[in-house]
Amino acid sequence: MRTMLVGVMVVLSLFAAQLVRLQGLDAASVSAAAVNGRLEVRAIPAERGTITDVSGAELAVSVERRRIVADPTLVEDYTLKDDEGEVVAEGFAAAAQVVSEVTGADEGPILEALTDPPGEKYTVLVKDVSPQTWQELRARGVRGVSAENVMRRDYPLGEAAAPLVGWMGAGEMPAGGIELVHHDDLTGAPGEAVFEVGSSGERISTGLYQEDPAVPGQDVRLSIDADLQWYAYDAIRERVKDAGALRGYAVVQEVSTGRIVALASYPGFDPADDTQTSEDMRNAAIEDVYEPGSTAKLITAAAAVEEGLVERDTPVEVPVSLPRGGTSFRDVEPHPVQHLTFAGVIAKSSNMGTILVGEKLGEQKLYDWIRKFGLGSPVGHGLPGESAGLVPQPGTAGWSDTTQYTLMFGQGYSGSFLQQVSVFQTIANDGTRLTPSFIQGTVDEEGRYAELPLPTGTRVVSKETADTLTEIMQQIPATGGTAPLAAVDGYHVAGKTSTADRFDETKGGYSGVTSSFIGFAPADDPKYVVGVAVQRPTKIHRFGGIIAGPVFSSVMRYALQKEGVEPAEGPPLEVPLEYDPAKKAPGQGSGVTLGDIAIKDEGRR
Amino acid sequence: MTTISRPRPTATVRPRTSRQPATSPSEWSLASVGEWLRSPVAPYYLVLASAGILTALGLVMVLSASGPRSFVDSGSSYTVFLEQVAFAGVGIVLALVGSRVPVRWWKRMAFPAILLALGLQAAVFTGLGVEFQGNRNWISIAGFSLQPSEFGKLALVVFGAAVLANRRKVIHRIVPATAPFVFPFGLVLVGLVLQGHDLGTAMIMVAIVVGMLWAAGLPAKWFVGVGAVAAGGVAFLAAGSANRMQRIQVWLGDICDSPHAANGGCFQKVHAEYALADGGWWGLGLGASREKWGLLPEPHNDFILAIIGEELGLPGTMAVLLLFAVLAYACFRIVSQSDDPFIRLATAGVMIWLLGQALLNIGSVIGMLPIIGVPLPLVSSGGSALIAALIGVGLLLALARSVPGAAERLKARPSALRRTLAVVPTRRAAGRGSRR
Repeated sequence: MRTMLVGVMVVLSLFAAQLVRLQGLDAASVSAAAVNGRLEVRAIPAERGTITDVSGAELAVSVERRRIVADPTLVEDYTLKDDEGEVVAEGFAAAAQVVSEVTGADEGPILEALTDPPGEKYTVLVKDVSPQTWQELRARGVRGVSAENVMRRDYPLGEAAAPLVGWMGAGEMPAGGIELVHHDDLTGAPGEAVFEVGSSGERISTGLYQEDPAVPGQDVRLSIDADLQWYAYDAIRERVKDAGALRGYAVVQEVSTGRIVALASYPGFDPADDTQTSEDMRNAAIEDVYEPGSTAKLITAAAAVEEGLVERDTPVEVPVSLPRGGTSFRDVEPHPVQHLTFAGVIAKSSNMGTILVGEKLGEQKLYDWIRKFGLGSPVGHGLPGESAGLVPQPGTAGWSDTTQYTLMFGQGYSGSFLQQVSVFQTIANDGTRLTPSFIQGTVDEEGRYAELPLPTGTRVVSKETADTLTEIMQQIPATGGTAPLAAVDGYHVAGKTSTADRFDETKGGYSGVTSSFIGFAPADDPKYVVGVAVQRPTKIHRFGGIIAGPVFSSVMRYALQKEGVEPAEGPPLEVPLEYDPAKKAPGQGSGVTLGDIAIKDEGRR
Repeated sequence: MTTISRPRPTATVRPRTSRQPATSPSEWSLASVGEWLRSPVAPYYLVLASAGILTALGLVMVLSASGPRSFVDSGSSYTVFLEQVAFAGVGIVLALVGSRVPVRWWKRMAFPAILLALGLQAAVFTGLGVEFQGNRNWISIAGFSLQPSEFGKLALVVFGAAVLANRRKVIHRIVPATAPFVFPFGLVLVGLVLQGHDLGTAMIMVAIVVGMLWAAGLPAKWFVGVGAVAAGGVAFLAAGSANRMQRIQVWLGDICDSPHAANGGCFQKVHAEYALADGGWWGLGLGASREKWGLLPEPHNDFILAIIGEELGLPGTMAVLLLFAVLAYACFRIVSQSDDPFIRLATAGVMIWLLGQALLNIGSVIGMLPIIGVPLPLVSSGGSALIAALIGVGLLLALARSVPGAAERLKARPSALRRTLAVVPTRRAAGRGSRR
């Protein structure tokens, strides 16, 4: 018996020594291996910055969502019991039933995800549910079902702002618009949590937990006004539909800052629909290039006035037809010889009148002026997909005999919508061009708002020239002008129509027209430039004044009233559009009539 | 010599109390503890204290270790624990009853007990039997499952003690020494257990039989032959099972291909080591175990010592070793103080049972033995094991009370209940007080 006791004591002493070794001497390294084996690293997604409009309304916002996932090997053992504890369903079918009940998702795909999972222990049951729904599901305690935190990007304005704001594509990568341009600012730094887990992946509550918190991205505040954006989108959408057109764009730009307040195009796309192709998701208002047409006459006119070749009331004798460069130019509607002032040439959009004035510049100067107004160069607003357009240069292969004449009225070269709008902004802003921009400022992670500085402008023409052109353009949206429908009640508007032959790439030639109207108001102290362009209208009419004018009027009125701009007092300025050729020319010798001094076809070439 | 006659003026000043012998009940010293340990009641209290503390520690650790798994399985962290509390309650009541049952009654129960044990063990192979984790050693009666082999150990001890006690004179002859203890009862019982694939329990039973024969005085020469046969038997059985061979290889060869794969052979061994290392010197704190989160298998059962080590550190594991050492010492004291052969043999049997099982379990957990799969007596969860072990403790207490001089001393010390009632001025209390 004593032997037995001694034996027990000896063995216990050996055990004690082994325990001292395991728990004391060798513990540190083994414990480190043990902790390592239990550690799990989980990324904490950083909240992407919000894109807001100028007053803080959300245009793109990340919301926290849950993705419901499951481990099928655990779900297998799940049993669904009713209130009396009777088993009513088992395994996959039971889990699918409960998940479907709570989330409202179809049971079929859930069951399929469980029976045919992509990985042995991982399958996605429902891609996207609210955190509340997940809490409800969690309370049901379905074995093996868990949730992952995901961020979903929501676009409250939907289609109306989608091309501009952009969208998030697969793999949390931005795929256009502001989302792409400001990706670095918007993206925060994801965090990381390191913690110990048990066998089924649950966190050991008493174990190690280290968190490197995520840094949320910066908020970006756009100069866009959400109300105006939607209004403009709605207006252009209705017009494109009614006119049976291919597409259309509308833009509102603030004259004194160059900031874009609204930029809409139709057809748009739903940014949340991830099944569409990139072809459906273009920002047409930015990416399209087309021949601008008569709105470009403003460039010719500005150049001529700035160079001192003409004045507002300079008489121009417009012939029936004008042979130049081996062809015969005519106006849109046939007419007898017209006696138009320079203002009348622009207001009535006479091609021949414009050529008679513009040819005085010479081809190199004409080209220089076109480039000076920004055509042939990117506008520089920074949105992706912008094209510089194509302006042929004198002396190169693209320059034909007729090129200089067509350039004067906006055919034979191409440019973007915003390039044209920028020309009008220049005139409205007393001759100084400001680079269009979309960003008002950014808000960093600590909530500090930093407004983006205004761009320094580029003077293109003198204030006097700009004033002259504004006076002329006031005649257009008025009775007798080419776009009475573009008038805005109570405000004096300056603007220009365009009905340009449209180069159709699919047909390899001219087909249909681009109908547009660009203008600004109030004429005496312009607040906004509004541009509207409709591609290939097939119904109603083809003229820019008729197709685009009403949209311009509607959007401009809304913008001015929203901003609380005072209506104009008194009637709009009227300048003579025609002259009497028999009338004595002022400042000339006696017997010299206006007809004598008028610019007329002197038979060039 | 001169000093005696010399006056000691200081003596009268010295307070009397300081010269009191150290045997004063209010004071402790090495001498007083030693004297107490030599007293006939010491084994009784040592058994009571060590078994009581082990049981209490077991309940606490079962609660802690079973929590996470219990929550996953049943939605409550307390399911396993509350069952264990109920089992402990039943076991403690049976232990208290058993401790008051006179030893001669225990003796009388020997034959019925072994027959009942054999009957229940055989019932495992009837329709009542339940297979669990590859072992068929459970029966299910009216919703309660029972592991007959746990009670079989107790029956074997009582039966062996009763039989061998009557054969002191002929113990040197092999036939009377082994019949009917070994042939047929022991052999049949062990055979039935082995048939259920429970090698661990069978090993404990063989140890009980061999140990009791040794304690009874069977000449050593027989053990050489029997030992060889037993070793051969174990080796044969181990080799017959791939699972067992793997466990032995893991133990011997320290091979460990994939410590984190649940079906890799060394998973348990590695995670037991992890748990002990996590605990380190001082432990992670009660409830703070990491390995109980589904990582270490059987954390509240066979591997509860690893969780004790993880949460309570080296003091926790050392306390368990110490408590079993105390239990062993107490058993030794009962044997050495008693002349009654039944008491001596029954004590030895219970000691071999509880200590042998504890050593197998602890050795498995700390990697010094292959993983055999026996629970830690009194500590691990499991109703049959706990109740059987507590009845075994009850038997030990009854035996301890029968040590010469113990019963008298225990009676001399009124129970707590009696002392409480004594202050109540009733005739009954007064009568009792005056009875001695």
